[in-house]
Amino acid sequence: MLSAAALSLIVSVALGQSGAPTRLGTTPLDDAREVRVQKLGKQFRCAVCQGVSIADSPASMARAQLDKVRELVGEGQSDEEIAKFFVDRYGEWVLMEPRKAGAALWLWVLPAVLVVGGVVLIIRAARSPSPFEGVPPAPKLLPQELEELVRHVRSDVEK
Amino acid sequence: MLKGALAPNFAMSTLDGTKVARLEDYRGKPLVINFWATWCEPCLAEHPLFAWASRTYGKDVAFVGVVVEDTEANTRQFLRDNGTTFTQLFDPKSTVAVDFGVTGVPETYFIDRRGIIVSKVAGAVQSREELTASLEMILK
Repeated sequence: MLSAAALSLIVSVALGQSGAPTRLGTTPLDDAREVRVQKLGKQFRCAVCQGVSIADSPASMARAQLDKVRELVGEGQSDEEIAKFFVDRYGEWVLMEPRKAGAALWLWVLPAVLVVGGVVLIIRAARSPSPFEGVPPAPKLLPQELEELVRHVRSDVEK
Repeated sequence: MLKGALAPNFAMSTLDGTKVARLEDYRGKPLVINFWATWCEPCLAEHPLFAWASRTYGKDVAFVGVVVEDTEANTRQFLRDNGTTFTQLFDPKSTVAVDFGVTGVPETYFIDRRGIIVSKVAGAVQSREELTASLEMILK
């Protein structure tokens, strides 16, 4: 859920009311490390946007977050260490794709569990005896009995 | 987030440009860091509360405003018009904001004398009572 503060910032930016200066990011690293910066940037959510990664957002705060990724990559930190830096500050929410570990693992496992459970229920239902088993079939009506029945129903409907 | 963790180090210029303030300058004293911007209405609404708190608790607690996502010119004008009772620092590239995990402005961090973040308020502080309760926690 968005905090009031984040909402305030988003609305202000969206309405063009912000006095926040736009700015360029820091100087890119060499090609190989910059590719890693951009790849990591796709994995982290912009703190003041909705559903946009810091690599894809033009927001000033996203630039600052990407600069931090660049700084940490420049320091030689691993992908896991950089992810921990962001999760420590913003929570698991900052990850564009939830991690396949801990409580977040359920987000990956639960849909598969539900599908398998549904299939098992359907198979069991198909194999189980019909609830109408043992119930004698309805007796066949003679033509005059059928006509009588139709007349009876029609008169009920017309009432 | 970062609640219960050591506050990240910082080095930011004061708005008057006279000195650079660092986290270590406040070691041994509870510290309140208020991230704000002049274009942010809730920030302006809560500003008088921090002015009051810095006058009331200033002897025991250090108050620092950190201006993010804004220009120095806007901020200087605002402070000329409204005055300030506590130190104002400038974070031009939002680097300190990212180090703290700021998700918008205003956002306020309450740090005890050991340098540990005890609590944070995301959004505007609403009342003297709310502010006092947070201050009491870092004064313990």
